[in-house]
Amino acid sequence: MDEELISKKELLDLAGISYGQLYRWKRKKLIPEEWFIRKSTFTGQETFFPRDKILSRIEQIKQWKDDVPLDELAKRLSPDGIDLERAVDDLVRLGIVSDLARRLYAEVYPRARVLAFREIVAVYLVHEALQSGQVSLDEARQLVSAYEQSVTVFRDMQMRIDLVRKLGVGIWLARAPNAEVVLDPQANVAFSIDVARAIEQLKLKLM
Amino acid sequence: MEHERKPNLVVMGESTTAGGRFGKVRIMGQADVTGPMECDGVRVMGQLEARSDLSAETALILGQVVCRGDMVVGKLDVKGALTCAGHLSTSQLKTAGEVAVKGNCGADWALIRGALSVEGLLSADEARVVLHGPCRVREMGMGRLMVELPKWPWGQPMRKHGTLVADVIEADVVDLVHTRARVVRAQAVRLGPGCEIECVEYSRSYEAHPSARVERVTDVGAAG
Repeated sequence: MDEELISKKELLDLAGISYGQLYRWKRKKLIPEEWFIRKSTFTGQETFFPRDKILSRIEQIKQWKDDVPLDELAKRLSPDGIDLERAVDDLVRLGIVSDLARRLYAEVYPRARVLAFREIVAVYLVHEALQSGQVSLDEARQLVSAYEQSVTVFRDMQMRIDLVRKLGVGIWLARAPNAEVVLDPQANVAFSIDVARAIEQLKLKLM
Repeated sequence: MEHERKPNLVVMGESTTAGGRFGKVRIMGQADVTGPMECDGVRVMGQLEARSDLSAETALILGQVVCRGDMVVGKLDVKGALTCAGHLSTSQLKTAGEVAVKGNCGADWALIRGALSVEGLLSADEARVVLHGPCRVREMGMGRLMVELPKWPWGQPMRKHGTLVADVIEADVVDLVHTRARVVRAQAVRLGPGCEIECVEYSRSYEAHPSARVERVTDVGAAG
């Protein structure tokens, strides 16, 4: 893992929050336990955070906390699935997914009209993949079934999905977010998405 | 959400249950819960052993509770003994008994008047610790932490009081007595008698009793 870390003290200064707030948000599960990284320094053990993730999360919390109760906010921010159904057409109308993503999904599941949250994530991932401009239509279509396979393994949605391509042939690869993979030097990662983060964004759009 | 009628559970003798959803749970004897249990209210006068998670809106423990999973309780009042092998999270924690938590212990508001041991993080918006017994916490993260000696109705203390031992205390405001800690970081720090702190970092105010032993004091606010 080569993320840039930030110490707790720096974080409090930079974000302008107090210990009380930080611990309250942790307790309410607005900040996941995994982000509290313990490391020993010359002054003893200190806590560090993944810099970019924590700073953007704290911005989000600050922005929402006055309008939304913390428990509700925790639900929106957590990568867990929510109980929610949407018609495919509504998703397109709300601009959450593109029409093209919907058509591709419909080619795999022609009869899907109303989608559960897990399926919405699938369409959203297809949408994001297409938006990146790195993924062909055919590959995007394959993502739907690749996703269906991988969610059975990564039930908590803590995964990263990559498109690895070699000599023009792309395959989808799902792995734990920080798992190491070594690729054939001729292969390259054309597109990569952190599913847990995508779900957080998706939830903010849906709710 | 559809309305469901939840059964009550009363154990007078000895019983084993698989868990599930209940309305009111009352344990006068000895109960063994093998699966996760969710209930509105639980009162334990006897002994309860939960092999899995336990969640309740209110809980009153006069007897003994052992929970091997996580506990989520709205209002928790412990007058007996509680051992939790997972995390304990409550909105209101009041204890005059013995509480031991292996994981983290969280509360919006906490009043601790008994013995307490937390191997993880004890976190609360506001916590008051009255040192009736020994308190041992690895890490404390608070909005406001007040530690005080018990007050006895007639001047002199009748019994020995306990001490609070912690590795790290981080809070907005701390007011400590008879506390041993490695690091105390807070905006406003007040140390009373009997404190032994290796390192204090404050940013707004600092005050110490002459008998408080502090090795290092740093004003972080002035530096940054």
